[in-house]
Amino acid sequence: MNKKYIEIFGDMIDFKDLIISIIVISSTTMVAHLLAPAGNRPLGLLFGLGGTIIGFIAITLLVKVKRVIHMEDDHA
Amino acid sequence: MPDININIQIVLAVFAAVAIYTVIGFIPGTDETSVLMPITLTLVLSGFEPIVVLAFFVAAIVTLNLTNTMPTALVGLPGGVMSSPMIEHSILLKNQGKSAAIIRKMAAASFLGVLIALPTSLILAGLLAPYGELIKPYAPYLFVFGAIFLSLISKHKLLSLLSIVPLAILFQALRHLYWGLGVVDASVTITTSFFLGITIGPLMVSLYSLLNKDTKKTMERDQPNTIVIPHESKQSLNPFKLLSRKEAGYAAVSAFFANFLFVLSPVGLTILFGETVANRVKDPVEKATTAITTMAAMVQSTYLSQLIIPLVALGIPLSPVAIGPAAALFNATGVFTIEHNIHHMLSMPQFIVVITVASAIALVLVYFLIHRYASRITKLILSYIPHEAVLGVFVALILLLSYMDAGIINVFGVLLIGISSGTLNKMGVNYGVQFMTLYAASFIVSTLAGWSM
Repeated sequence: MNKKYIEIFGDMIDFKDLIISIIVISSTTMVAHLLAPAGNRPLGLLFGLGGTIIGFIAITLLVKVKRVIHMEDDHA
Repeated sequence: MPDININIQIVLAVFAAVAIYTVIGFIPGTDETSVLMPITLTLVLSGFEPIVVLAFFVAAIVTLNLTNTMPTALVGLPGGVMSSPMIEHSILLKNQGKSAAIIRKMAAASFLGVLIALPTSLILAGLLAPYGELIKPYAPYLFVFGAIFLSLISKHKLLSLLSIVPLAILFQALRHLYWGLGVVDASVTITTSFFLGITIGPLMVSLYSLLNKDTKKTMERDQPNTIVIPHESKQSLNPFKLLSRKEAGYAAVSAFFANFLFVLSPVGLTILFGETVANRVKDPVEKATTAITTMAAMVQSTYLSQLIIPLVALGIPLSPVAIGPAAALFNATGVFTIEHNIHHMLSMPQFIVVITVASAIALVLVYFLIHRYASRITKLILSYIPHEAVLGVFVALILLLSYMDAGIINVFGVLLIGISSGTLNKMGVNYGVQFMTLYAASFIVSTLAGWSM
């Protein structure tokens, strides 16, 4: 199958993976933010950022990297 | 003298900043403001001592500015906004197989930039401090002047000039809408999420374009990105031996003069100085090296001077860095206000000591780290962190901060800003002009309103 990559911001992505990433990370961020005690700005921000990190780690494990990496010596 | 406990906190804050921002710096495409501002704001709001927060922030910018240049040089992906002007030159050098040598030169120039900016901006701050009260009333004029000046030195002068007033109206229209609807209190001026809206505008436009099937087709590729990472070279660690006399000279002189232009956009200044010195060199390889080393020094110098001068001398965020990434040090709901912030809480000797210590520790740690492990860290990060995750984080961050600033309506308000300023950006109106316009918006619009009555 001829897989299509999309070039955006200097690197390659898969459209479906991008949509999944945006939905997952946005959800973990906002859910965590809304779980924080109401009216407490610092905790609200901290919880939100915590949610961002959780979503980021989840996507890092879930989504394949679209780069082929060589060290310079590998094919010298 | 601060007690022992505070000293330990300062050192821990510096180490934490180095650890966090080394990782973030190596991830391509992480915008400085979006990664510096929220974390600093969290520290401020959590009630850390002002001196600890300042140490963290100084270490963070020194680390980030140095590590951001690594993916730029090694694989041709910009580490952040500030390293995007280096891309063209670094790709040229990479194709010549010079990446390994150039990262050392960049690190050395960055080192030089800190070394020059630190004393220069502290002295300048000391000289300006007595005039602080005199300058304050003129801040809005300076921002308007800055927007016009940056337009005039940009590639698309008329386009930029003609964008200033419409953009200012867009920002003020949203603020007045929220005040009018009672979404935010009349005393609250939203800046943070608007700033981020401008910053990720081009990304927003690209993401929106993906929803148009015809445009999406033009962005499709058959091949994944193939990236070859060079190994670190075994050269001297002495930053003064890594640069030729000419490179060091250009970098040092540029880094020095940047301090006096602290109200102008750091990216704009980096491009201006970098390209100006590069144009004095004929040989294409030497030209690229000169541009890159000068830019690496400029990035450190602009960030440090734009933090130090407004913070130490004035206490008002009168520079793009102060009003953007460092905004939380000047104004954080419930902790700092424009009348009472870090500027008012620390003494001159405290400023000098903490800024010097934090930047020195961060600089030395990151400098050695880069010389030993730059290639390996790059490989690790590029192999495991998908581009999708980085883009997802930006969308999530802007969502969170716009929601926190003024609720759901502001999520769409910031989207509107992103689409508008992103479109202007793609047409050729640079970030500097847009940021200056945001700072000058209230003044421009109230002046126009005065003329319209």
